[in-house]
Amino acid sequence: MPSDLESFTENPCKMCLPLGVVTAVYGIEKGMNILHGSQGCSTYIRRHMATHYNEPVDIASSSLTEEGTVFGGEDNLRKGLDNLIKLYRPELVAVSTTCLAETIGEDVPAMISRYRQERPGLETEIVSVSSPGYGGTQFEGYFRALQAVLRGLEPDERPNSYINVIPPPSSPADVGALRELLEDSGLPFILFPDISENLDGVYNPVYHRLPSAGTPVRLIKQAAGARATLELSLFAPENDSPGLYLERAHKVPLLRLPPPAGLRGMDALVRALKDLGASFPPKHRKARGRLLDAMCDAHKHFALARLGAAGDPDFVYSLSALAAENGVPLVMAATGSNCPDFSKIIKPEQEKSLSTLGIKESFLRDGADFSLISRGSRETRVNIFAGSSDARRMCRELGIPLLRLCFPIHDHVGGQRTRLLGYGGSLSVLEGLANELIGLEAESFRDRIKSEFFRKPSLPAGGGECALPAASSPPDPASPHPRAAFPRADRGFAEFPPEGAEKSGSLSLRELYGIAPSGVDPSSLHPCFSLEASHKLGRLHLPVASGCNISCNYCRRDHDCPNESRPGASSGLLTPREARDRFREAREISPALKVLGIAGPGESLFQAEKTLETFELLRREDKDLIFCLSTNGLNLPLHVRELHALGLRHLTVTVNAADPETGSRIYSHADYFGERYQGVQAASLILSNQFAGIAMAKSLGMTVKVNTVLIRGVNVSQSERISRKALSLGADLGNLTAHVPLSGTPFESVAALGLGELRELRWKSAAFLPQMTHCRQCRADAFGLLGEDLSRRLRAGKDPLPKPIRAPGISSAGTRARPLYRIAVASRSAVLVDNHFGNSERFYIYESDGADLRLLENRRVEGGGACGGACLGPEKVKERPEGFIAGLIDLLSDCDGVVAARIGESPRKILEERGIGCLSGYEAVDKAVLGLARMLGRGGGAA
Amino acid sequence: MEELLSERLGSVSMKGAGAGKNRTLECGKNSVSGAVSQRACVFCGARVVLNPVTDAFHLVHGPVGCASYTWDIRGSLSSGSELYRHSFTTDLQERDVVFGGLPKLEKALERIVEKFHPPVVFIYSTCLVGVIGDDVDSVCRAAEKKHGVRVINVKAPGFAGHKAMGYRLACEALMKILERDPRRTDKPVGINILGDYNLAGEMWIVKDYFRRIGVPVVSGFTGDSTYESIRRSTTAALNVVQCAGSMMYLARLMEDKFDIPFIKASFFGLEDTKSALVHVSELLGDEETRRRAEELSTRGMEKAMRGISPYLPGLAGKKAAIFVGGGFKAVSLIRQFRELGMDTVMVGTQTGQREDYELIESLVNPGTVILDDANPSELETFMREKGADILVGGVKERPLAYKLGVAFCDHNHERKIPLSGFDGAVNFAREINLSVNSPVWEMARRTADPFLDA
Repeated sequence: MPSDLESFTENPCKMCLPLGVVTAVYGIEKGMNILHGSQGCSTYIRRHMATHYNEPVDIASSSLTEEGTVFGGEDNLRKGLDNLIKLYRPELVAVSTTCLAETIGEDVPAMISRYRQERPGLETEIVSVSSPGYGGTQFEGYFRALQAVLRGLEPDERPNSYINVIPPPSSPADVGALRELLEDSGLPFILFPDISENLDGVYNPVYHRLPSAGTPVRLIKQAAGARATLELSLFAPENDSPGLYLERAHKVPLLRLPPPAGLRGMDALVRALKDLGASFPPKHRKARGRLLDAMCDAHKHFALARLGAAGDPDFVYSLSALAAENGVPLVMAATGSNCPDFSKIIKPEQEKSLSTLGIKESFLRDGADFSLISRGSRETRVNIFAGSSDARRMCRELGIPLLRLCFPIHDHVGGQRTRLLGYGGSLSVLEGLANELIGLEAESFRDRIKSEFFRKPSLPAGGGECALPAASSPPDPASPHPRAAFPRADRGFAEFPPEGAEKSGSLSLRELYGIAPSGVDPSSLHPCFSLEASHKLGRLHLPVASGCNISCNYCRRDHDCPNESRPGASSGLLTPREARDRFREAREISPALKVLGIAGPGESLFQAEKTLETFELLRREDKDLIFCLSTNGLNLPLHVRELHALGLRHLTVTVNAADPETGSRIYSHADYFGERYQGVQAASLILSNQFAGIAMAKSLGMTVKVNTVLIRGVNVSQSERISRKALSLGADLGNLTAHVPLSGTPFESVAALGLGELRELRWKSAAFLPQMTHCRQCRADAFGLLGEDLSRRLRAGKDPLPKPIRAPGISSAGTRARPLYRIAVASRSAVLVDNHFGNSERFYIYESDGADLRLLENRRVEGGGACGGACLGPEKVKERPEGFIAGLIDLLSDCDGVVAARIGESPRKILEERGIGCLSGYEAVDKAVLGLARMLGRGGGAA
Repeated sequence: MEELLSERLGSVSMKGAGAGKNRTLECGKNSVSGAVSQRACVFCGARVVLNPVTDAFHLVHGPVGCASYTWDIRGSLSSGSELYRHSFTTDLQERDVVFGGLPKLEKALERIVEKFHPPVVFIYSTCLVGVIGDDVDSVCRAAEKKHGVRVINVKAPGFAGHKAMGYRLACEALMKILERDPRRTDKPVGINILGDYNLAGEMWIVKDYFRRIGVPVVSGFTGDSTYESIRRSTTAALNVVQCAGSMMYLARLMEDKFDIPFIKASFFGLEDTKSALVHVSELLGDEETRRRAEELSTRGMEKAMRGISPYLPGLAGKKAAIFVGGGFKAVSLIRQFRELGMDTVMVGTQTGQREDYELIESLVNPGTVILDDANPSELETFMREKGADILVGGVKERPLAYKLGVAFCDHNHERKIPLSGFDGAVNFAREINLSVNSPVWEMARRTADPFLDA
């Protein structure tokens, strides 16, 4: 069943029936395929097979045209057969129908017999296979072709001593191993089909275009007189099964066995062959012993897995058998074929693989597409996947490794040589799986255990506790135990994606720059770095930096860099001297001003001389000033020492990716030493300079915050990897922010992350790296306490107020389509409406038109938090200052609405009298604000 | 040539060979049944051209195979939406063939609009739909009315011609977007780039050149394009047509309907890139623009030559075989090989047109084999006969080349290395060198086999 109520399939986990037919016929000596239909069918299948098997795949087509479609395609087919036979001189040609031929009602068997009548003495066998693309998948097509070939050839029923062996769809290497076993058994056998050489050829000085290995046609005819048939498939459909056909039509006894994967599967085959009189040389028994030996060696690692598998039914069964025998939790198993017995047959194996470890979640489904498989993998927290390369996009999204074990494999070489069957094949799959799991564990265990148990010792900074929101304090009070929520036993690697190449990179950087942990924690004084200080110390951002040396796809060059400052334009650029003058003015207004930052409007180190000069001038004004700087990091390694010499101790670097591939989707180019770099090259340059710069800054003892702009569908899945990377470089603080879609940028139509999603990501990353959760995405020329922007006051009279850039959907006042409402939200977490109106220490003020919203400021309530449940009833009312509520309402008098978890009767009345709409309930902030704005828009105002 | 099928004789020629001299190569015909053509079908042509529209919803109305085999196989890059990299299909089953596929399609459209909010839906109607007679057009009209998004039926049954017909259908689908309420201006400015699919970022490379010489690029067809960017295109002053095979038809339609003139251009190879930039700047800009184009080209060529020259000694005299989709690309490749000091000994295309083959004939040396819609046995025969050292083609041809001990360069949709412009020319030289001069060929072709030692 496709994912969307059977209406359409998203990212199919199956191919069409004719592909299976072609594959089976490739296992016949001197066999060729011709598809009766459009030219495209054969070309597509050729491409699909050629890139997997790395072999030339020649499939003819009758190349039906419009005329053939209307008047019948017999002429096309006749000519096609003539040409194919002339070009290749095959012994057997399989004529497969396609959707087209089936639907226009071509009678192919009749055409073939006429063709043969017209050509007496024709030596080529011609068989027809009815294979409409909509009639099933490649899996059924494979067996259907085998049966059709048996039906189409003249059977030789004279009893012989052969054993028919029908392998399931599998790799040439597996079929080759099976053939070796049969050859060693001493039994005469007919392995049908045998793709081992035709689809895994050797290099030869002379190339033969006709597949010259495979099952000889002469032997296929004798299958009708064989002693027995062993059909190694549990799912070959009854109508298509070649073994059943031989049994019914020619009375050849049939033994159906599971695919010989895993110990039990292969043992069953050996036993069956022995019953038929086989005796094996010792090497096979040794192979069995070796498999068992390998199973013992590796078994402890398997429990780390949460395996997902998808592919042909027999392939998935094979993995389920291996999983059951080895204690590999197979949490998710699916096939694209519509296969009624799939769940029934695989369920017991799956349960066995899960039961010892007490894992409850599982997913099992036939007729699935990758959209559904992806959902199942998420639900069951798959951490490693086995299947075809079609799963690679999903695995990349989930951040999990993929074992490429079945057709099609388009992104690796050697698809023809994957192993799964036999003792040797099972061993190779198991060891591949174990090594992948060992790698994942080795990459993650140090960080995981450190973040779980290690706590930064408190430092005597100013006589108090370190104010840094350390990993030990959950970043969000709404979720009390962030780490405890992922107990070790059922933690998937999905939460701890592999670090890949980074590991060695960070090691060498540490060695290179001799990073030592910074001794004192000056961050406790800086508002952006300390939650505590954010309420006390003023800061001023000076817009002296212009231009940029990189191009981010979320950025519009004519505005402030959204890396650092939300796109609220800073009002014009200042020269270093003007910046000093502005500092002097600001000091007049706010003597608490302690922190000076340069964060834009462009890149602060693009024309670094301006930034350096500004710091130098300011240092002369006051030697105690705290400087901070935000940068994209490209030029950081070049200037970090000078900056340090000027007293810079607080650095923010925006790192948006953990690897260059992802980086290349965000950065379109980088200008460095007069060269323009693009794509992955640009991204690698940016990232490596960011990483080197951070490491150098840390070695100089700076406090480093790593900002990340999260873009939906681009780097969201990397947020944890970025945090880990930052941690490994020694960064002190992380700050995940949501990308603001700007029109005119490549990411304009990418929806911004919601507050809830952002909260969850911050929460996850906080397990590694303390997160700044009080970020308000300041403007580049912000001034004042966080949440209290005085910059307008400072600029008043000097230059006109900047025109704010608005998030899409919110147009400016003059032209807006819908009115904007200003809404106050009583919230502690800024994520949920979790405070009572009278109890709120702060209100987040939003502007919204009902379609989108934007945070304007964070307004504090003097003496707030005193109601203590006043809204619950008079008996609980506590003492509070006279006129508190009235003052509170005054504070919000510029708003059109208020959202709170609860609002008492009397405040509600006063609010409504003043024309301020109310909405109460525990809700996500963004939803509540949008909801109230829409209500206000409709003229409502209370709920 | 005893291997040749008689129906194929007219489509194969050798320059300067007595009997075939001065006759015109047969091309543009339907593929010969049973000949194992390398061509795909009408649906494929349409999908190739439209699929890079990144924010469109591409729905294959047909059986699963058509969608499965075309899932994200093209290397078109996007700077925004990744929707186009998914594979969506109505996955028609036996019962749909009997009762018609429309109910499924209608239901699918409901869900698509609700879940994905695409600005435009392209419905590719495949062979099966062509013969079961679904009235997809009426479903499209109804859906447009109901949901307020563009829903465009691309009637592309595989049997209705060959790949080039698919290109045409794609161009018509694009015209449907342009024709409804077209954006017009009194002062057209800038260019559209037609026929670049942003494979490995090639559209970005070309756009950047134009940005640097001061020619605004209004829109690109269809590499890294969006519904909105396509709609913008009618305000441009000039269409620059790259892959002429796929987009010439659209250029002509746009000239008719919107009075936008076009020129053909190629960005493969140094000379071609330079002349493209200079020509466009001549047509559109002032003296200053032209000067910048020349300056950029001179600098680009100098830099590229520095990148290419180390490879030249190893490439001189090597023999190239070409088998690509369109004629214009084959022409560019012949010239590019000449820039590298290599000779082209065999050249063929899937869908080249008469004028392409005339041009090819005029460019190559006597003795060069020219083929239209070749098959593996012809490719094998002529690569061997002509002693080709490298084949430029698509991935279907790759295993054949390797089996013959011939190097290979992927110039098809799956390439991951940009081959356009000055940067691309260096990549091309590097690609050719790394394959043609790889030590494996010496191992494969010239090392004595000890098992055969006497």
